[in-house]
Amino acid sequence: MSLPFDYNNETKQVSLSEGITDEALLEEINQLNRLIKDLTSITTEVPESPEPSLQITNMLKKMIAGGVESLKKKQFKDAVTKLTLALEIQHRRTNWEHFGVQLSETNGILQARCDAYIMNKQYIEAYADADMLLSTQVNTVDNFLRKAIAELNLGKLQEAKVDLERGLCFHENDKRLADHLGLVNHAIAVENGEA
Amino acid sequence: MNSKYSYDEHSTTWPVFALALLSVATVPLTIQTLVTVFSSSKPTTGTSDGVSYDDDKHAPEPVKKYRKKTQKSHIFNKKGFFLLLAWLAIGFFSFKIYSTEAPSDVSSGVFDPYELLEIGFGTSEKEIKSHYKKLTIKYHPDKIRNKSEEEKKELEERFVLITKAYKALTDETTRENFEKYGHPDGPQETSHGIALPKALIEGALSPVLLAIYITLIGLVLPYLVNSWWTKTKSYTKKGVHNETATMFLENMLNFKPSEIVTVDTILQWLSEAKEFELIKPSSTSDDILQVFRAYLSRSNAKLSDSDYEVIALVPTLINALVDISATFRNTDITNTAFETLKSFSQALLPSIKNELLQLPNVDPAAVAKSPIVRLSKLMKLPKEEIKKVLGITSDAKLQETLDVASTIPIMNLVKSEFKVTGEKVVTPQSNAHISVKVIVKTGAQKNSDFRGKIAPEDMEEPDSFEYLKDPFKIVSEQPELPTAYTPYFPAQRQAKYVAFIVVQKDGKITDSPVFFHNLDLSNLLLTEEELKLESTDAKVGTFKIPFAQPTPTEPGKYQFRVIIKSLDYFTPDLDFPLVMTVEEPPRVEEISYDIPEAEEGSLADTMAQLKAGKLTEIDEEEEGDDDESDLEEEDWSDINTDTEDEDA
Repeated sequence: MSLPFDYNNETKQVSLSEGITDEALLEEINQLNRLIKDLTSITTEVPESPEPSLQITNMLKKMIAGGVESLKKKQFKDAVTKLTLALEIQHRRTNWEHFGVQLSETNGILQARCDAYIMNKQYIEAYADADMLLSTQVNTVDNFLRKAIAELNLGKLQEAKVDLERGLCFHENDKRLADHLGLVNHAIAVENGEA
Repeated sequence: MNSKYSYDEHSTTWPVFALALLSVATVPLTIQTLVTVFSSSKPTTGTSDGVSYDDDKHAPEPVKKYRKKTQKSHIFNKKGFFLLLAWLAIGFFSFKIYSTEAPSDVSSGVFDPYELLEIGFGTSEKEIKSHYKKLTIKYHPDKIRNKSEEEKKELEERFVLITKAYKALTDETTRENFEKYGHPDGPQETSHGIALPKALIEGALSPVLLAIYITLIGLVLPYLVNSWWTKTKSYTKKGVHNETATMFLENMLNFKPSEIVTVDTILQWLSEAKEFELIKPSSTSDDILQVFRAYLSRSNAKLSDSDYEVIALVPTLINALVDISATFRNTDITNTAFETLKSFSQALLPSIKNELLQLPNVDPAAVAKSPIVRLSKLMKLPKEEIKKVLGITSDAKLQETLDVASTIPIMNLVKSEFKVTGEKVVTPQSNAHISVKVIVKTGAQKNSDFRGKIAPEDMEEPDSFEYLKDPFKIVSEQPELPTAYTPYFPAQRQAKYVAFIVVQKDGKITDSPVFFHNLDLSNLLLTEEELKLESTDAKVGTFKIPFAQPTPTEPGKYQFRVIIKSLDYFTPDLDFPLVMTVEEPPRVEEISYDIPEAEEGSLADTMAQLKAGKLTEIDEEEEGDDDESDLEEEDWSDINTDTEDEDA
C-alpha cells in the first residue's frame, strides 16, 4: 500500500508525495511535523511531563503584567505590542503541555489584547480577537460586549445588535449589555431616520 | 386476405381513435399553457404600478440583449409549436370524421323486426301480414322511380330487411334463428376491427411503420433513458453538478471555525463549480472569479454572453450551497451566502453603502462622500438633499430614482411569537411554528406613521377551522411578490424572502432556510396624505416559519434568533431574538353541559372510562386526588357532546 506522503529518514520529516496537493492533508502533516520536531529537539531522554513549563509561565506572567501595566497607563500601542508578544511566547509552549491551561492563557491574553485594540481604536483587529474569544469561551458578558463595541465602531450596527441580544440570552439581567443594546437600537433608529 | 381482422379500409374508425389519443394529450397541455401565459403576463404588464418597477428600463445594453436572447416566449416556443401542430391535426381528424359517411345504419344496426315493420310488440299475425304488404308496396324496388342511384340502393336494402323481418315473425325457421342468434339468417360472423388502414400494416406503408417502430424502440427510447439517467447521475436534486456539490461539501468539512466568512470566501467557492467549466471549458476558477468581480463592479463592457450565462447560474449554486451549509448548521456561511446572492442580484460588491448604490442614476463618488447609509434615512430627506447625496443633477432622473426607491420594501417587525396550532401556549413535544407579523413600508414612510392604522384582528391568527387545518395558508394567500428591480442581473428575478432560525445557545441554524414568495406590498402605495388620515388601514404581512423538530420535553425558556432576509434588495434584514416559553397546557375550565350520561356498555361509556382511567394516573402524580372527579366530569361532558353532534 502506498501512502500519499513520504518520510525523510534524516530530517525525520514527513512530506506530501509529488503531484499531490491536498490542503487538508498538508495541514495535518504540518501538525505532525511540528510535533516530531518538538519531540526530537528535546535533550532529555524521557519526554517531558505535560505540566506547563515553569520558565515560559514566568516569562508570560511578566509580559502580561507589562501589557496590563501599559494599558493602565493608557499606552495602548505599547500594550498591544507587549500582549502580542505574550501571545507569541504562549505559542512556544510544547504541544504536549496541558491544553486546558494553554487555552485559558490564550483567552486571557486575547481578552487583554482585544481591550487594548479597542482603546487604540483598532476595531478590525479587536473584532477578530473578540470573534475568536466568542468561539472559545462563549459564556462571558465581556466578550459579547467586546465584539459589540468593535462592531458598533465599525458601523456594523445590525451585527452589534445581534451579538448583544445573544449575550442577553445567557445573562438576562446584565445591565451593561442591556444599556449597550439600547444604545445600538437608538443608533439604528437614527441611521434609518426614524428618530 | 386471410387475416382474421378487418382493417379500417374506409378510414372510418382510425381518425376517431387518433383524435381521442391526441386530445387526451393536447387539451390538458393547452389549458396548462394558457394558464401560465395568463398568470405570467400579469406582473410584466404593469411596468411601474407602485409595487414593482420594470428593471429592463435601466438594464445596461449587454444585459438587455442577453435577456432578450434567453427570454423564452410563452407562446412562440417548442411547446407552442407542438400545440399548434396538435390542434391542426385535431382539426384535420375532426374534418375527416365529419366528412366520412358512417356505413349505413340499416345494414349494421341491431335487427329488430318490430321496428322494421313499424308495428308494436305482440301484434297479431294478421295485422303483421297486412302491414308487411303495405310496406312492400311502398319500398318495392319496382315502385321506385325518380330517385338517385344512392337512394335506390338504400331503399332496396330496406326492402330486403323488411322481408327478413316479416319472415322472422311468421316463418318457423327464421323465427328460431332470430330467437337463438338475434338474426334471422342464423349465426353471424364475429369480426374484430383494427383502427388502422390496411395499407399501413400489409400494404406499401408497412416498411415505414416498421422503421418508425425500430427508431422508437431501438434509438429514441434508449437515448431518452440514457440522457435521463446520466442527468440524474451527475446532477443533484437541487440541480447542481455532483462535483460541485462535493466541492461545497469538502469546503464545509475543511472550514475552520476561527475563520471569518466573507462574500469573498463564497465567491472563491462558487468559482470552482463544475458548471462553469462546462459553460466555458477553457477558463480556470481564477478566470471565473475575474468574471464575478467584473460583474459585481458593474463593468459590463468586459462581459460576454457566456459570462452572463455564468452569472445567471449563480443563484442555483448558492441555493445548493446553502442547502449544504444549513445541514452543517453553519450560520455564518449560510448568512453570507445569502448576502452574496444579494450582491449578485444588484451587481454590487459588498459595501456599507449598497442600500443607496442599488438605486438607478446614482453617482458612487457622491454616495461615498455622504455619511448616509440607509435607504430609509435618504428618503426622508428633502429632495434637494437627496440629489446631493446621490449625485443626481436633473429632476427627471431624481423622480425615476425615487420611483424605484419607493418600490423597495422595508420591513418593520411588529410581532413575533411561537405558535402551536390549536393551543394558547407552546406545549412540550408539539409541532410549533414561528409567526412573524411585519409592516411593509417604503423608506420614506416612518414606523410611527403606522401607529393606530393596523386593525387589531390583523395581528391575531384567525380562529377558524380553516386556519386550524392549515395555519400556513394565510401566508400563501397573500399576493405574490412582483419581479424585483435587478437591472444588472442577466435574468428577471421574482422577489423572494428567506427565513431561518438560529439557536442562541450554540449559534447554529435549526433547519433548512424557508423561502417566501408571497407578501402584501400594498402599503408601499400609501401616500403621505393617506397616512395622515385616521381612517387609512395599513396591511400587515405574515411570515410563518415551520419548526421541524418537536418542542422540548421540559418546560422552560429556549432562546432563538430569527433572520428574515430579502434575496434581492439591500435593506435591513429582520434579525431579532425570540424566546420559546414551553409550558404545560393550562387546565381547561370546567364547563357543565346538561347532557345525560352515556349508556352503560356503549362505545362512549367505554371511551370515557378509558380516558378517565388514564387521566387519573397523571393526576395522582401531579396534585393528588382532589381534582379527579372534576376531570372525570369534564371528560364525560366532552364525550357526550360528540355523541350529541352525531345524533344531530
